[in-house]
Amino acid sequence: MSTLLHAATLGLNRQRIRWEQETEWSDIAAAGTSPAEKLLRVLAARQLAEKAAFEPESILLSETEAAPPEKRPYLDAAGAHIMYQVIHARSRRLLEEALGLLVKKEELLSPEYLPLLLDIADELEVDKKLLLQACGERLHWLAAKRPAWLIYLPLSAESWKTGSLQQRLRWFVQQRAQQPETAHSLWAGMKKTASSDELIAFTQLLKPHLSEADEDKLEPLLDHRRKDVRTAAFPLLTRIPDTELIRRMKKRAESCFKMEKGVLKVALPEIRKEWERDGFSVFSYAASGLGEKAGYLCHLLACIPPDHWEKSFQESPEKLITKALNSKWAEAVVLAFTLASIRQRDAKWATELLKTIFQNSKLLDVIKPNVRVELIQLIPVAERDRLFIKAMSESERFDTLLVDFSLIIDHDDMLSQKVAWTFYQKLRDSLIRRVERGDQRFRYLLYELPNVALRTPIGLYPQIAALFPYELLGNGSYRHYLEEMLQTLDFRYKMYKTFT
Amino acid sequence: MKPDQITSLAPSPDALRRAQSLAHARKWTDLGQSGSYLWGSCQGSGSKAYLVAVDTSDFASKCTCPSRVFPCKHALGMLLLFAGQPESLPVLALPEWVGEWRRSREGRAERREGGITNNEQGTRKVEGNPRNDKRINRMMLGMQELEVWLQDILQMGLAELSQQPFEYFEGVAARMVDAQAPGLAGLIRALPGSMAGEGWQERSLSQIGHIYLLLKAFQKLEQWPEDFQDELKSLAGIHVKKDQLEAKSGISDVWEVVGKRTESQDRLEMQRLWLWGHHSRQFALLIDFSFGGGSFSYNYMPGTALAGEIVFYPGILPERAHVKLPVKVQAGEGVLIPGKSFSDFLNVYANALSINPFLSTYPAWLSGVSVFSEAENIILLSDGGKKIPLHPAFQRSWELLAVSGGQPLSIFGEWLANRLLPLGILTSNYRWINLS
Repeated sequence: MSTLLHAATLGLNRQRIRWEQETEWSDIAAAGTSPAEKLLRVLAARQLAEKAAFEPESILLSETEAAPPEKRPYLDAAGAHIMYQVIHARSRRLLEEALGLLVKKEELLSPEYLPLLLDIADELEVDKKLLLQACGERLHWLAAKRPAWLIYLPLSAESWKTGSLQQRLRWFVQQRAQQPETAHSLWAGMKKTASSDELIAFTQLLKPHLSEADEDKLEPLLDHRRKDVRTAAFPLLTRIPDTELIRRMKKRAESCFKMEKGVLKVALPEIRKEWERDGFSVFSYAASGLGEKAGYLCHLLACIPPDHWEKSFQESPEKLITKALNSKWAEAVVLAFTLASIRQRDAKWATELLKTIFQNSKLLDVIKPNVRVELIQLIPVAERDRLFIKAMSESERFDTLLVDFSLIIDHDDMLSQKVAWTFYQKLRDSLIRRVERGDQRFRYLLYELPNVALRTPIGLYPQIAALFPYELLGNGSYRHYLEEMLQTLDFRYKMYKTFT
Repeated sequence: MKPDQITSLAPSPDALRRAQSLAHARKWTDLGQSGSYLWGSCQGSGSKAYLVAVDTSDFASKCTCPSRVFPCKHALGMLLLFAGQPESLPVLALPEWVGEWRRSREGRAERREGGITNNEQGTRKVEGNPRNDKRINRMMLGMQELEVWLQDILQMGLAELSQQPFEYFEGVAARMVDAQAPGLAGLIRALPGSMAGEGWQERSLSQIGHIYLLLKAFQKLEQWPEDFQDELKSLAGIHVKKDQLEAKSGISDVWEVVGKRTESQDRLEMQRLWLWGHHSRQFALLIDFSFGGGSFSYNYMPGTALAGEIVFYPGILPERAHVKLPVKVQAGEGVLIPGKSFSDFLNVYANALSINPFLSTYPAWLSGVSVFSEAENIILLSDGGKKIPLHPAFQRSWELLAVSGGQPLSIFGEWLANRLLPLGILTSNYRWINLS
C-alpha cells in the first residue's frame, strides 16, 4: 500500500502508479478508465478488506498479578450513587467524611471510581491512610500501574536513593516523624549536594515536628546566597523557643520596647547592617498597612515569644495588649504579638488577642484573615466556642461578624453543635433584618455558606432546614447562597442515612 | 425506578446534586400523580412557582423554569422524589395544565397516526412515489458530480487537499444537500476531521473509498434487492419517517438498555442507545438528535429495560430501531448477552460486512478480555493474546483496569473503524458498570 499511499498523498498529477507492479490490486484497478478511477476502485475495495480482514496484532505481555481479594464487600448501588457525587464535588472535607463513613460501614468503594479518585486525592490532600482503608487492596494494586499514582504507594529506603524529588521529600517527612535521628543524617547528606530549590523544599518540611535540634540546620541557612532559602529558614527559626536568633532579637528590642512607670514605651528600631541577616530587609509588612520602619518594629517583636514580655514586665497578656493598643505604634505591636503567639503556639495569648480583634474592627485591616485563622486554631475548642457565641449574641455584632465571616468559616475544624446552631439561628435573624432594610450589600459574602454547611454537625440538619423554609428563601437575593448551603447539608444528611 | 437510575438522565453531577435537594416533599406544593404522569409546583427564584410535570413512561418533562438545561433540576428532583417517596405524590385527577400537556403530546402522536393511515391508503411505497423518483434522479446527478470531485482530489493529492479550508469541503457538501443527498453531505463534512493526527492519510483514503463505494452502489440502485436498496437510500439520506414505522408491526420483547453514547457537534447532539432483546436475542439501536440543549425523545438509561414493541428501520441488516409507545420502563433484569471471544466476534463482523459492506458501527460483546497497563497506556488483550485496539474517543480506559483487578472482563461496546469503543462492563460477579 505504501506506493498507493505515496501517490495519493502527492497526487496522481505528480506521481503515476504502475498498476502492473501492484499485483494485489491490479485486477480491481483494471476496470477503471482513468488513473483516478482506478485508484478510487482500489480504495473502495481496500477499505472494505481492511474492515473485513482485520488482523489484530499478537502481543506477548507478561502475566499481571491479579489484585488481592478483598475482605469487605463493595458498596451497593445507592452508596455508589452517593460516592459518584462526592468524588465529582472535589471537596477534601466531603470526600474524607464519606470515606470515613465507608470505613465505618465496613464496605469498599467500587473500583470504577478509583482512577478519578487517584487523580484528585493527592491534589486535595486527602488522608492517604483513610483512602487505603476505604478503597481496599486494589488501591495499591492500581496505583502501582501508573507513574502518576506511585505517590500512593508506601515508600522504602530505596526511594531516598533512586526516587524522584517528591518521593525523597515524602521519605524525609516519614523518617522525621518516625526516626528523627535517621532524618538528621538524611538532611546532612542532602545538604551537601542539594540545589537551592531542593534545599527550600526540604526546609519547608521541617515545620512539623520542629524542635531545638533543628536550630543547627536552620541558622546556617540565614547566610545562604539565595534569598528564597533565607526566607524559608527564618520563620522556622522563630518558632523554636530560645534560639540564638530569638536571643539576638530580645537584645535588640531592649532599646525600643520598654515599660516605664507602668506605661509601654515603644520606639522604632534603628536598623544596623548586621541585623539584615535576620530578615529585616526581606520581610515586608506593607500589606498590613505598616510603613517601612513600623514593619521593622513588627518584624523584631514578632520573633520574640510573647510570654517573654509577661515575665520581663510582670504584666498579664490582657494588660500588655491593652497597653500596646494605647502605645504609639499600636497596630505594629498587636500584629507582632499575633505573629509571635502563632509562632510559639501560645493559646493564652491567642485567646486574648482574638478578644481584642473582636472588639476592634480597625484591627481587621492589619491582621489579615489567613493570620486570624491561625490564631483561631490555637485556641482550645471550648474557649473558641465561648468566644464565638458571645460574639454572635448581639444582633448588630452578628451583622458585623458577617462582614468578617472568616472568624466563623475560615478555620478548618468542625463546628460544635452549639456554635453551629447559634450561627444558623443568627444567620436567619440577620437575613430577615437585612431583607426588611433592603440591604443587599453583604450578599456576596455569603458565598462561603456551603463551606460552613460542610463543617456543621449533620444531626442538626432537620432543625436547620426548618429554620429556612422555602418561603423564606423566596425571591430574595440571598436565595442562591442559602440554597447552596441547604443543598450541601441535605446531601450530607442523605449520605449519612445511606452509609449508617 | 431507582434513584441511581436517574443519574444518567442528569446532564452533570452538579445538576444531579441540585436536583437532589429538591427531592423533598416540603420543597413542593400541589403534588400529584395519575397514571404515568407526575406533577407539582416548586418555588424558584421567580415570583411564581414553577409548574413541573413528568411522564415516567418516557421521562419527557415540562417545566416553566427558564433553564435551558434538559431535563432541568426541577424535573429531575421530582423524579428523585417519586423514586424515593412515591407516597408523597397523591393519586389525583390530572390538573388542567397537565391535561393540556398530555393532550398536546397525544395530539402529536395522533397526527403521526393520521400520517400512517394516509400512507396505508396507498402512498407508502417510496419507490412508487413520483416525487421520490424525481429525488433519486436528482441524487444520481449529484453523485456524478461527486465522483468527478473525488477523481479531482486524487489528481491533486491528499497533501494539497489537507491544506484546503473547511469552506472548500462545505461547498461540496452543500452541493450534495442541493442534490437531496444529505447522507453524502455528512460524509464529505467528516473528511477534514479525518485529516489530522497520526495515520491521517490512511484514514482519509478509507473515507474516500467508502464514499466512492456508496455512490457506485447507489448508481446501480435498481439492480439491488429491495432491502439493500433501503439501506443505500438511508445512507444517502432518504430516511423512512417514524410514522411509516409506526404502521409496521414490530418485535415485542423486554429490551435491556446496555449502552449509551452521545456525540455533539456545534449545537447538535446525537444520542445512540443500544438495546438487547431478552427473548429475540438481538441488538437494536435507537438514534436520537437534539439541538441547542433540547431534549431527546428517548430518555432511557442503561440499567433499565423497556417492555414493549420496537420496529426496525428497513435495511439489509436491520439495526436502527424505533420504539412504539407506550412502553413500560422497568428496572433492568440483568444483562444476559452471550459474549464472544474476539476472534469469533471478528468472524461475525466480517460476515455482517459481506451482507452490508457499509456497516460503520457494530455492537461488540466481548468476553475473556484482559486489561493491561504499559506506562500510560491501557492495552486490551483477547483470550487468544490478540490486541483489541481501543477507540481514541474512549477516555475511561483506566476504569477498565481498575474494575478488572487483573481478571478477565466482559465488555460491551461499539466496533468502530476497527477499534472498540467500550460502553459497559460486566464484572466477574455479574455487576454491570455503565461507561457511557
